[in-house]
Amino acid sequence: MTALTWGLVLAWAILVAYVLSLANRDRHLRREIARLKSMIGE
Amino acid sequence: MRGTVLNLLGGIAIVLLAVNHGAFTSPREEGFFYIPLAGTAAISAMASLAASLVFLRTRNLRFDAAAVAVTEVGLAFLAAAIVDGCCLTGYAGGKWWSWDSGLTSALVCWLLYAAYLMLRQSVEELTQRATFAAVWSIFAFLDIPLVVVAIAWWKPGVHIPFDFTVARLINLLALVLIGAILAVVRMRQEEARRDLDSLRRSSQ
Repeated sequence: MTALTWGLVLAWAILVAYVLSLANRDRHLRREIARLKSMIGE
Repeated sequence: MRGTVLNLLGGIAIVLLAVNHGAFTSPREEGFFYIPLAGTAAISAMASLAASLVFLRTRNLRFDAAAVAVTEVGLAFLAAAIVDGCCLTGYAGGKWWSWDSGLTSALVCWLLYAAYLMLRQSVEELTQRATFAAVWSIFAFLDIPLVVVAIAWWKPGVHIPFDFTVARLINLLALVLIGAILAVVRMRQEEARRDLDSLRRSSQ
């Protein structure tokens, strides 16, 4: 693999890692909202 | 409806990138991903500046959420551009990091915008946090013209012509679309987080 290809792969890896971190935060937020809703319901 | 538009934009971006991938094999197109990545980061910085200015004027927290969203997305794109730039210098000169004007000024820019996100973590009060962050964002943006001037004055070790060929323009369009989608998602998260925090505070 040439350095040029490495550049492309690593750049995409960073962007994919960011998307995964966004998805993770989304999951965390949903869990928080569900927890708060159940607290209000009690 | 909003989700459908985002999916459609994502589909267009993927098609553009897939169609354009053939240009990668052309040796002339060394910067075919690096320049669009850096361009998307610069557009994000401009959007962050605009959102920060509008926030300072209107005090509407929606614009603060927009500013943090585009800044974070721009930071991810800039990180990808710096790493791609390192690989380009490695490809051209065998050295993976050279303290040349292009890479160094981009790194300084990245650090400035990373400090923006750290600043947000350190201030608790909502309006105060948004105000400090907006002022910092305006200050950080001053570095963007400096990056351009630095590259023009002190020629980087590896010179990638900063012109927009058709392949680079297509990639720029695709990456801007992806960046916009991510910024919308991040903005929604920021607003949900803010609502959640205020709900939590009021319930205490």
